[in-house]
Amino acid sequence: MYDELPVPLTAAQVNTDLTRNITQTGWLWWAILGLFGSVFGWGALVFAYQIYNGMGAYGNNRPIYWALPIINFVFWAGVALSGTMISAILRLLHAGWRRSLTRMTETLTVCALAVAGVFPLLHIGRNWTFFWMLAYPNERQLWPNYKSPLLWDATAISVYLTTSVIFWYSGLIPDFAILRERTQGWRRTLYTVLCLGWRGTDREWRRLKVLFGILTVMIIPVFVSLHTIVGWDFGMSIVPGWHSNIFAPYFVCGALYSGCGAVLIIMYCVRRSFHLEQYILPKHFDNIGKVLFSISLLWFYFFAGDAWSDWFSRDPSHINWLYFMFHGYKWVLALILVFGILVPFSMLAFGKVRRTPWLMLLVGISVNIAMFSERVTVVIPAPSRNILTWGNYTPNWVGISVTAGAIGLFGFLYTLLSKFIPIVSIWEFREGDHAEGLERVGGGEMPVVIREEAIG
Amino acid sequence: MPDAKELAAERSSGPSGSGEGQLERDSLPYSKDTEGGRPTRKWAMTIDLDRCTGCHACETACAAENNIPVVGEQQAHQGRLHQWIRVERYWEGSYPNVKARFMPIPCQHCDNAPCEPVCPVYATYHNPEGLNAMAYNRCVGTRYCGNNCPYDVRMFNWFEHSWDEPLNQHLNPDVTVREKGVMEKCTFCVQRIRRAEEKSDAEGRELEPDEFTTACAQACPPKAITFGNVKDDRWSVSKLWNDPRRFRLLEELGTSPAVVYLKTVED
Amino acid sequence: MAETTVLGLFEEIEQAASALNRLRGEGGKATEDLMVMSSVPFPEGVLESDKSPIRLTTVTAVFAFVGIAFGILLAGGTAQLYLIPGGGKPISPAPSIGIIAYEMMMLFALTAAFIAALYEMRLPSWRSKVYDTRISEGLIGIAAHCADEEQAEKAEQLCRDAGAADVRRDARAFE
Repeated sequence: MYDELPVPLTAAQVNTDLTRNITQTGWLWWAILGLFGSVFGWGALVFAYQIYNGMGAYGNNRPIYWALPIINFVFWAGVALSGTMISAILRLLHAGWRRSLTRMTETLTVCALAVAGVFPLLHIGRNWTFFWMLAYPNERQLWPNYKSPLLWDATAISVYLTTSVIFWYSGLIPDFAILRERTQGWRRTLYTVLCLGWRGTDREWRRLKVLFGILTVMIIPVFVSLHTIVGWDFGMSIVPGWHSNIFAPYFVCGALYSGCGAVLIIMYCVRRSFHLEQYILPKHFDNIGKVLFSISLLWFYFFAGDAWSDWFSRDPSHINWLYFMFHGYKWVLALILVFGILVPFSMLAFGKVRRTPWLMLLVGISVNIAMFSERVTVVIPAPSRNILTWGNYTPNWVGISVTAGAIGLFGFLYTLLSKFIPIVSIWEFREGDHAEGLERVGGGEMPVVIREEAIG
Repeated sequence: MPDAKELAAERSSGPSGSGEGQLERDSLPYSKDTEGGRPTRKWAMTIDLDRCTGCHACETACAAENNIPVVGEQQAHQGRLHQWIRVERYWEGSYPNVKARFMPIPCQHCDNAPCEPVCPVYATYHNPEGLNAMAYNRCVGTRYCGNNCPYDVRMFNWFEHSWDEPLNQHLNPDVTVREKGVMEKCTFCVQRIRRAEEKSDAEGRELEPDEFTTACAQACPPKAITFGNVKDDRWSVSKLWNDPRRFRLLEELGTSPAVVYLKTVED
Repeated sequence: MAETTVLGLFEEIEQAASALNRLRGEGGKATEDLMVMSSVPFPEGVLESDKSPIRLTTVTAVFAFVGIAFGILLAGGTAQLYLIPGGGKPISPAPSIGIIAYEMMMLFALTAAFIAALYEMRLPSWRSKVYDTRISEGLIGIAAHCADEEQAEKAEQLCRDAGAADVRRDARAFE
């Protein structure tokens, strides 16, 4: 523990370190932006091809009406979940180590939700009529049908996106004020506008704390509701294998799992690219690793429970679906078992592994491979063995390109944002800095922390 | 063969069942005494499986009537075949005592249609005459209705379809040609219903029993398909509607279909 | 001499606290004429000059109810404007209204909390105001609003006595 105590840094040093990602731009940043940008660009071109030719370009058919776009939607919504969750829950629990992570995880949520939000628009047959699903007074005098789980979904994702952006932006205001003083030219104008004239008066700080108290408590039910509703897109349907009560908690848990994996990936990449070794410590990886370990057990429990209840019912239509999943999709199931169970279990059990960042990057990637595969087994096998009609789905280059394009879009957004915002919250880090210290007790040195008061 | 009464009672014990097969004629959710001065109608179909020979004439007639695109062998193989009515074939027994059973499946026009409430834009809804209507122009193509149809009778226009010369001259002017990206399905030949209604209105009379029928019923050589208004006892469909052999497909799902099948009579 | 603001900049919290106390006591400054500025928040009760009531929780609660009402109107009410039956379900079924009302409750409550917080913070305000760049870099600023030259000189003296790293006058708007 002692070796990991943060070396006391001066405020100016922290400011310099944590704004370096904005003030200094190397060729590598441009290269990474270009790489993600071109992958995204390719995905966008393929999307244009899909609009021109029709949804059949994905290889969907009857009865597999939904495929890769919906898999991607569920996956990215899941990735988005844990960012704000980790930030909100750790704030609620006054966990001091959150300070280095909040900003990068909140940014993860905002970017991943933006990617997830693209897919419902991308997957509809007539993309150019997407606005018919929005609620606004119109000359057709027709409002959208709020009986449809898709509308609940659209509502929930817009609410989560809006509230996540509010959560993220509220924390950014004081940092933008610091950036206002540290930048010149158009950037200074940008940050002057973005910080809204923040000066850091105690009137402002008191309100910001209360605001965070409210946001923290209330955003937790928002992201839980989003994932139950994503689960209900399937659970409310009549398709055997989808019509399941377990989907709501199962999807929340799966989202936590892939989201925490994504947090690990982001932590490693940010730490490495912006040289934040003094700010993102092995103990952060350790803590997230412990969380991930417990969620992985929970998630596997749900995963097994879902199949188990269908098997137990002996309902022929359910058995057909289950049989198909365990035979036709056995390689996908194997991916889930290896990357979702074996790899995380065998690695996260060891403290040494949890404290080695690059190994934790591998765990994060592994968990996300497993979770993508799990989304595949949720979306595809059930309708493939519908009650009356059976079918098969094979992904083609269009679906794979769009899936890659989603990764490209996420990377592009994140890389771009990391050039405009401090990727570790400066004020939160410095707030923690003067709340922690060393105390000499009986000849030894003890770390001491000033406990935060209750929020609100 | 089981006792006819027993069978009827068994078959009608769905969620809305009131015994003896009298269910939806009295308990229609949208029943009004008159609709625009016309007597209330409930369009329904009976398909006598004992008469069906599995000749697929209904499919052909339907394709001609409703401008259904011919997608070709490759697309059909990939599961993108367009058929508003399809004849399912089931093999029973093993060789040499093998028997083929046929079952034509059009849209069941369910009273509790699972496809209707899931549409985010109201592109599919239930009209007062019991039709499960589909507004092509409103459809955005989420395909949720297709997923939620247990009968898999909803066809999605995966691609833009074209008709080669001279087939483009054969399109039915009464039926919309669907754009890519919209869902379509059996309408119970709504264009024929409307034409008959307009004709009878113009002549100042009520619809005569069995005045018209759907394309599939018209084309069926053994007359297995009967279509009509079950709210009017004079129509043939009303006489068959409560036949002791009646059953409805996947009735246990509680969808309350407007298509009644009549069981094969076993020797 | 017109109104001015004396801005004392401190390196240590203790010095700033002492200056704040002196300005209140010896300087006779009212709460609304004093302002603490810093680039980090302090634990509650530390260096507080602002005593104005915070009504964010009330606003959030009120707008949560507004959101519920909006959600009911959005999901249940709009369906009544154009009756389209489907699926044997009611035109405005309670479960879907409940879900939309829940989401709208959250949206309204959280957005209102944010907007109300900005309103109470008197932001956004891009006018030029009392500030010093060094506050961003870790110094703590104590600003005292002074009506005349005599008061300003006294405030400057008090800040210096408390151990200010720098004291200067700022003619820009106090708030």
